[in-house]
Amino acid sequence: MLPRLLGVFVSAVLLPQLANQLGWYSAEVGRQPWVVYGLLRTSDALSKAVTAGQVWFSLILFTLVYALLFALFLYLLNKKIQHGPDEEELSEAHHLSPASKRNNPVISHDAPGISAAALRNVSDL
Amino acid sequence: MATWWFLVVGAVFTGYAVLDGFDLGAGAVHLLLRKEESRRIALNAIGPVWDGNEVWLVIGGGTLFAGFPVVYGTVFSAFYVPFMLFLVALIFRAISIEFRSKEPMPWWRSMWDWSYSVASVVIALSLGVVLGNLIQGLPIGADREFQGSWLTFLNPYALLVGATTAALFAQHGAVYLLLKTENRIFARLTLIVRQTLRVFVALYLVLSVATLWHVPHMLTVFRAQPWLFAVPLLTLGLVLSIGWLIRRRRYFAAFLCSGSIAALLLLTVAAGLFPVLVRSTLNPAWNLTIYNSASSSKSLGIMLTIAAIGIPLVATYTGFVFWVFRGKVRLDEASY
Repeated sequence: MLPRLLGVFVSAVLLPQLANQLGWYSAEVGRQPWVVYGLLRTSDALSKAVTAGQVWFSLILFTLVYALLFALFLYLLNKKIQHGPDEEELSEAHHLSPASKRNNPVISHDAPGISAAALRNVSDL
Repeated sequence: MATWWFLVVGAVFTGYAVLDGFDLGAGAVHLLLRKEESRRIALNAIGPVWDGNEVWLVIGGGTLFAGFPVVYGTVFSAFYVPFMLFLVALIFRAISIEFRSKEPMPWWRSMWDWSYSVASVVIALSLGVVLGNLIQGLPIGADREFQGSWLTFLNPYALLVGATTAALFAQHGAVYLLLKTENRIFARLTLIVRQTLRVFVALYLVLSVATLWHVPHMLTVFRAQPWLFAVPLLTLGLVLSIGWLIRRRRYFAAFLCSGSIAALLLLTVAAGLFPVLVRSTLNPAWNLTIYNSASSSKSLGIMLTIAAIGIPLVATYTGFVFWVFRGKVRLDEASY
């Protein structure tokens, strides 16, 4: 039961991101055709000096930059997850004695997946 | 009221130039440091303060938007493409500092070193190029819109102002690194400071002549109020004395000196332009001034109250951070 629940929690990492993006999206789309509600229409707020081509340029540029950032983020996050928590961080959280720290399975890097012992440790937190 | 707000905008951009100037400059000379440990020390010298310094740019954009929305709209629309590239440079500089230490591979670290240094130079250059364009004026039409191609952004005079800005920041940053380092990297930096100073002084002299020759309208205010000539003369005095201070090993005084030079150069520009914010090269009647491009008096009054509380607050915490991280850099587990 508990491992399955924790498995579900893993996907919850995405939820604040989704809430953030969708909230912004709803506000921007919902306000149209106004850019300042009731005061200024989006079509009137448009700058004459900025061409459609320039807007395309910036959109594509930032899509590429953010795609690169997302790839780097996934790579480094995955590395951090694979590495697991540091010994020091664990001992601070648990106040473990040096002897029990050496036997702590959470810090063994070759353990496949999350061991039952590790889960017990996590649930103690 | 508009004059007060002009002073607020000027003070914030000056604070930005003096503060972010040295960490952008540290980035500009970063690749001249060869050793891995030197580069780490240099990064950690600006580590606690660089993002706080960038806050002044955010406040600068904010004060311009709140106080002079017409200027904000016109200038940001005119230079839409350069500003987008500027933003990308800001992003790459920030992630380079953060990502560099995440992997030990030499190619990884060298990649982020390059990205950090190139982005720092691009940012310093483009800030100067914007300033150069504001000094010259822009083709602003009767409708207060920019009429021209964004490529006019890159003209010889503006590029000269950009190069001078980058050289001043590099020298300012190199002196800052001297204050934060010791031993071999310190010895290496004393050479770098001299090189950057030589480049800056040469560019400063060329720029001064170019300004007198190319943009004589900057002199109108000075001719009407001759005592204002004290500002550029004081700047010249500081530029000439900075080398002496460095030879006498008075590095903190040299650091204050290069910061004051940045502030005085901006003061010279502000005095020369006032009350114009963006000069129209097409018709003087179409200039964007502090009067025809300001928000309502009520908005300015509210914003002045907020600025009177907010800016001292930011200045105080900035000072506090510098005090906490005073002294020479020592690398530890938590360093970049």
